[in-house]
Amino acid sequence: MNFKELKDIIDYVTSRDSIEELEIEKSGVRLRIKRAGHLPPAVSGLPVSSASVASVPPTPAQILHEGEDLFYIKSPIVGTFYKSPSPNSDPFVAVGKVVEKGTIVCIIEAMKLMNEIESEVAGEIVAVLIENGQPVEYGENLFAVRPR
Amino acid sequence: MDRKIDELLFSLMQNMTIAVSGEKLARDLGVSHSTLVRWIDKLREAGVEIRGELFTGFRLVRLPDVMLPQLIRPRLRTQTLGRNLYHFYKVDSTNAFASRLVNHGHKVPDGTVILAESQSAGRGRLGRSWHSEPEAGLYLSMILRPKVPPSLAPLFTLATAVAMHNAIERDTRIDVDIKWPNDLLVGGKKVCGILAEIQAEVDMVRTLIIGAGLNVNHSKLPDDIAGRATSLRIASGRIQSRLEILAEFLEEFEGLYRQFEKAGPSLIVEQWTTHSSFANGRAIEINDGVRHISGVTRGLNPLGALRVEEKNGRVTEVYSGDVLRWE
Repeated sequence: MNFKELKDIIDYVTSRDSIEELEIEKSGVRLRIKRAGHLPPAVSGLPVSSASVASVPPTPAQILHEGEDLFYIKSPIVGTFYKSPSPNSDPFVAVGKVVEKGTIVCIIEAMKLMNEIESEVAGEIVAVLIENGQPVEYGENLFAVRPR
Repeated sequence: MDRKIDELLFSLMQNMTIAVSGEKLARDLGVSHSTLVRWIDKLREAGVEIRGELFTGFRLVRLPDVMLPQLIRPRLRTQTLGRNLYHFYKVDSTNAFASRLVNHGHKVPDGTVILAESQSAGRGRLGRSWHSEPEAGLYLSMILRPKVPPSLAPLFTLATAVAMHNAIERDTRIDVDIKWPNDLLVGGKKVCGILAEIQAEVDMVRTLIIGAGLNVNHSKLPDDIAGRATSLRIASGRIQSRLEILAEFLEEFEGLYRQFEKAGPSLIVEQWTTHSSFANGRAIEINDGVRHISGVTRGLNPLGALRVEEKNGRVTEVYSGDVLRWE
């Protein structure tokens, strides 16, 4: 399933008030969409491999500023997303936080290799797209940043 | 970095049979009497047995097992790895020091190694602590700048496990197993843990720091971990040489590292598969952060991920997770 197909499915589901939950399995990728009230659709892609292949997450900023160009911080490796350096410490960043180029925004772990992900742009974090402890795929969007 | 204290200890080691006057030691090192006394205390704290005091002179009771650069250098058979050495009697953690060294803009050469006699804040994954005991463990970090994309970097942690496995087996003849991804086990109990961090550009690793903690000469481990951890001494019934294991390890790792840069990671995957009983046909339960996967192992994929075949025949490639149970 490519991005375009995924987006078409999501657009279709969100345009139909009657569909609350949808699950599709296609070419090794399982997609589950569940809608809650009038919020944008929360999407989680759980593919056959352990990391999610794609997720088009609810990005409040996109809804607030239609057509705005956001920068997406992507994962350079397959692994697990951690929002803080250890379970009991504060997250590196949160929505609303202003980051500089080079600010550490999260850790992606694979095989006990902690990959400190830095923001490639200066700006404001407008969405955290992955939940703590979730697997991420290579190139997957982690944060949406409104560049300064 | 405790370079001057290393000099002090090395000087005492070269005069094992006599008591060296505090006056002479202080003069040779170019420090005050009070500094000398402070350093002697620091050595004693690190487990070095020193008899005497400032006025009577100092003498070593026995040859200490300390990872002095002066003792390591003659044993090194590497080109670059470990040629730039930092040695501490006590440090928060060797990985934390390595990361400070890199972040403070120092020019740190590829292959820099940091060693500590003990760590006050030895770290494991997810902020878990690592039990450190003076003169008993091998605590080291390597600072590397491999010319590979970040997606391949996790394979270096497997390479570290393979190199440590080979070093221990060669030097001690103890049977060592590798639990995915990079824990070393002896008799089913953990002896070595590996933790790494990278800073990377989108397409290139900037700095890779790999830390390893190996339990060598612990005579006993704390009750709360004794059930799942052990040391080479406990497993073999005799004291092992940290220096020799270190020298073997650095040589082994450098070989895998160069091979990786030249020809890719296939040798690492191949060696890992040969030396780990977890590689193929092992019934395990693993938690990948989202779910518990139970199944039978089916080798590694080319990126080092563990392939697990579940009951329904589906094969999952696990990149990150804890092996919770195994048979």
